[in-house]
Amino acid sequence: MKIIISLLILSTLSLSGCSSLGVKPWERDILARDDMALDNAPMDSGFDDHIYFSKEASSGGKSFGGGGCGCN
Amino acid sequence: MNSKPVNTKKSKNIRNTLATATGCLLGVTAQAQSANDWETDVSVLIYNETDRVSAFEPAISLKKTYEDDSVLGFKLIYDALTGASHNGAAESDDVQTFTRPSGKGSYETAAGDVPLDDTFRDSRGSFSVNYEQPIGRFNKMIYGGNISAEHDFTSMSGSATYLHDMNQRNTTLSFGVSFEYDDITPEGGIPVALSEMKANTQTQERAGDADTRTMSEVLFGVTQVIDRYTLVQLNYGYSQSSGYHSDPYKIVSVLDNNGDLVAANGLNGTYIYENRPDSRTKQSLYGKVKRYIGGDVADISYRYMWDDWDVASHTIDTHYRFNISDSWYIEPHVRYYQQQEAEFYRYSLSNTEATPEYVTADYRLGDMTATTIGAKVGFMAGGYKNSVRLEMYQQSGDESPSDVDALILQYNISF
Repeated sequence: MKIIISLLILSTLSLSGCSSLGVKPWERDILARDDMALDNAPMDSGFDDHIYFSKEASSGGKSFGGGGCGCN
Repeated sequence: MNSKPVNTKKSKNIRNTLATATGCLLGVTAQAQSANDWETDVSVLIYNETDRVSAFEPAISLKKTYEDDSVLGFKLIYDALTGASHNGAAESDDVQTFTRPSGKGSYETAAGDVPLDDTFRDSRGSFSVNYEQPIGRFNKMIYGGNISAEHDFTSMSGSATYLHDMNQRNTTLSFGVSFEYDDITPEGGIPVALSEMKANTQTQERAGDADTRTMSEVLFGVTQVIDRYTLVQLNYGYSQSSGYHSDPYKIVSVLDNNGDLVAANGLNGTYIYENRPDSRTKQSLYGKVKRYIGGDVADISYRYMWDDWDVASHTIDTHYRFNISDSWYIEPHVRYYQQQEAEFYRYSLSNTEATPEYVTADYRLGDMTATTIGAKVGFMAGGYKNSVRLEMYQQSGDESPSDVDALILQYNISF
């Protein structure tokens, strides 16, 4: 647990230190596309989360892992 | 999809009618109803396992962005399930008889078949609300609430997530908390853990009509823009649940040293109700990369999840979206999942060993691999965005109850 928190803090610090990463506001044309959204098909992901939660022993990761169903 | 904006009169009329109808149904305030910029998604999912469970799941999602950039969203899902589900018992060379969960009937499994409870039938309704509230130029709060109910299970949950943009909005940090409360009211009541299944002419020991479970979760995330074409997301999640974690309908076979049935309690086999620990701590690390490649879009994600039941899993998921034109695309999808079994998973027990404190024969907690392969096609029709997704989902493990083949078919239309 401590290692993970340290890694997260380190990665956050390194990201904030890497101001060379990223783009200027006027370079966001491609990132602003619908198909470049991190979750560009939320209905699909909602169904998938529910299917895999019901059929496997894992859940969560990209979002909260609660199931809201009695299937597992 | 990189499609032309759709603002036809017809589209707006349908959107407004749907928004108003759903708004009335959900009791949304007059202010929200009067707005005419609701984004609406309507989906239907058909999930069909060979010889086992089938699900029919329509869903509607509504979203509106206000002038202050706050976003309000609703989602309503209905889920109808029918078919048969593995009851946990091992296959046998003899015919097996089991008592139904209600205790009021029985069903038989032929020699050599996976024992399936064919009375599996349920429907579930789920309603969720989301609200995003910008705070100043660089911060945002997202609140979520969900309630879902089926005849033997009710769940309520709430969440709050704080997001902070930095480095000219190239980095977003997030921190979220969620809480879930579940009420479990199984058909026939809660069986006494590790007690033997009795014939329907006898009285089954019960530990009451209902039990509960709670879950608390935290999720830390970092999203980073790498360059004009690339985004990276990293998350760490920690969840703790306590309360009733067993599946009240699952049993474990107790066999003799030859692996044969041992008659007991009016049945030709001995079966005990499973027992899982009353708490579980899960952790997960998740990473995703998304990249624009010469007009197409690719993403790949990896999740490592582990818990204090000794379950550990790897999930790799990837999509590649070929944007054929502004109005249609093809998106293949591949997912691979592999899990290590819980420390208390047993396919069956022996009648010469002491009964373990915790035991389950639910194949979903056993060693398993699963693959999903399929594709989605997106297109414009009638001025709306449509998509159809067809996928094959296959599970396999050490024993035949784990061998499940399923077909996933989804249709989506956006107004």
